[in-house]
Amino acid sequence: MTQIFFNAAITASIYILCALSLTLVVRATGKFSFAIGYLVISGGYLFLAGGFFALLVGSIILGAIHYFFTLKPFHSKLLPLIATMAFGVFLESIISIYFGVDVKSLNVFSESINLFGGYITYLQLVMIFVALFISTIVLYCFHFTKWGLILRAGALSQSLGVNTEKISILTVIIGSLIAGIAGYFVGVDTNLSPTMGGFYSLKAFAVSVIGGVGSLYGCVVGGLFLSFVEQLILFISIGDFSVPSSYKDAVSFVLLLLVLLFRPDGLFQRRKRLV
Amino acid sequence: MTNYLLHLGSLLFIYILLAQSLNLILGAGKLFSLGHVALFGIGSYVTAIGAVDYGLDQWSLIFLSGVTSSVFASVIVFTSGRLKEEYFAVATLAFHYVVQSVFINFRTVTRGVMGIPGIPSLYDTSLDMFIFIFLVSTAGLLILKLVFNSRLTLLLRGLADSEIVASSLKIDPKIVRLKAFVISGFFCGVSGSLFAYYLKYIDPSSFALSEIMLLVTIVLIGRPGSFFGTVIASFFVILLPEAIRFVEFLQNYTSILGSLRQLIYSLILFFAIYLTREKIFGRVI
Repeated sequence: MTQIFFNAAITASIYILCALSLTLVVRATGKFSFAIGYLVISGGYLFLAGGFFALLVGSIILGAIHYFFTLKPFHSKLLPLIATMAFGVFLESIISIYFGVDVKSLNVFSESINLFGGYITYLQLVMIFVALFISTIVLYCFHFTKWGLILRAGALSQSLGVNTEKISILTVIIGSLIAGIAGYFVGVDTNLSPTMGGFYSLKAFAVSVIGGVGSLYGCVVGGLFLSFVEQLILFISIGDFSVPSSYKDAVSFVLLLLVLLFRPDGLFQRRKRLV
Repeated sequence: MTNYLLHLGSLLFIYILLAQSLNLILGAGKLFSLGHVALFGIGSYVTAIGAVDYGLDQWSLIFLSGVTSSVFASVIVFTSGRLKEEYFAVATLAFHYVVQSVFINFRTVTRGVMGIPGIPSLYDTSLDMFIFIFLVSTAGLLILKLVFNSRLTLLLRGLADSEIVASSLKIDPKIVRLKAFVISGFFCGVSGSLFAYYLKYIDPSSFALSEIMLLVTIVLIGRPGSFFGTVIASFFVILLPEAIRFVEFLQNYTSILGSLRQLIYSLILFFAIYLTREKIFGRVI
């Protein structure tokens, strides 16, 4: 039981960071982005190429490109989606040209310890705490700083003469950094392959739709919910039938479809959709 | 050289039919469907399984593939038909991943990542195969041209422009979208069937997400909603990256050609929408 909890918490830390990144983009620009998953994968590969420094610098540059080329020029809802998808596939093909299409691993060794009857490595503990730390910081800043105030006011602050462009750039770049860190976690936790980008984009969508689009609390709640459902679904059996473990991800996407169909405002939201 | 040209021609006509069926949804209906590659894959798998495991003949399999894809296309409409633009895209992307996960994991039927080899070849020479693909694809395109000229496409365009006006004229958005998706899904299935017969081997990697981008690029370059625009854009988009095969410098790097092609597609797609911005759909959206 403890082991299930640990596994879910590790996956949740990745999901929460992906969804936070997407939600920051949505709050800053009002547009969806398909590029999140590709930024995540780029983060992992940047670490592979040059350690944490490359991850930070690269993510900031990618975030700036993400904002200036794929989000800012388009004003409808549909075109940024297509542009960010093109940007994502661009990143994917650059990665597969430079690193090759085969699966890579970050090869970080960490000792595993026995905690409350389950096994977890030190690095995975660090992952969980970093994810908690980042989401706490983002939530705190969102509610108690001027940055968060302008972000929460949205279009209203623009009409009051605040320069929202700077705030938008900053927010998208922070989102890109968070995605990059999530990419490092993906590389540590599982493997890196250039074609996983779309998969993590959809996970980010699934988490933020389940938690309510545009809600930062929703990211945390949705990330925990989705990862626990993915772990627990394997233990449900009706008669002889049980869900094979390889269908774990399909289950989460079916859940996304069901939530979109029946509760488009998110499972835990009572308010109207913000974006 | 002749074989190479015939190979290109066969692929070209398979993709024209596929792109045209996406054009009906994305171009005329302005619904950003990312599920069309999944429908294409379903058609391919029906043909491959039917031919290898059950030994059915090609005409009934082409028809069966089309019908199966239509059924799944109507599943898309029932699950996500009422969603708004960007949520529709997300929902169809989820559909794509669910279908792909079934391709990979339902091993007893689809044989997983190993794919299905040994689909019987229909004709001995590649010229005959090309003529077969050309005829089936052209027949499909003619029917789609009739659909493009019909009242259904007009209603679809109307719905895309203003759903409120359309509803006030007692047009049921769901029925119109369902009809369009069933027709579009049918031809996706037919082109998937041709694809399986042409390659004689299919595996889940042929239906990856990057294929969707190829189709979206074709539809957007050829002016969304324009029938002949899509046909011409297919020639352009499918044939242009073939030019890199003949660049001397790249001959030593054959392993990256696929990625390089993807890179070119993503750049074409990006600049196509960057240069036209909101005007690309014929009006500000």
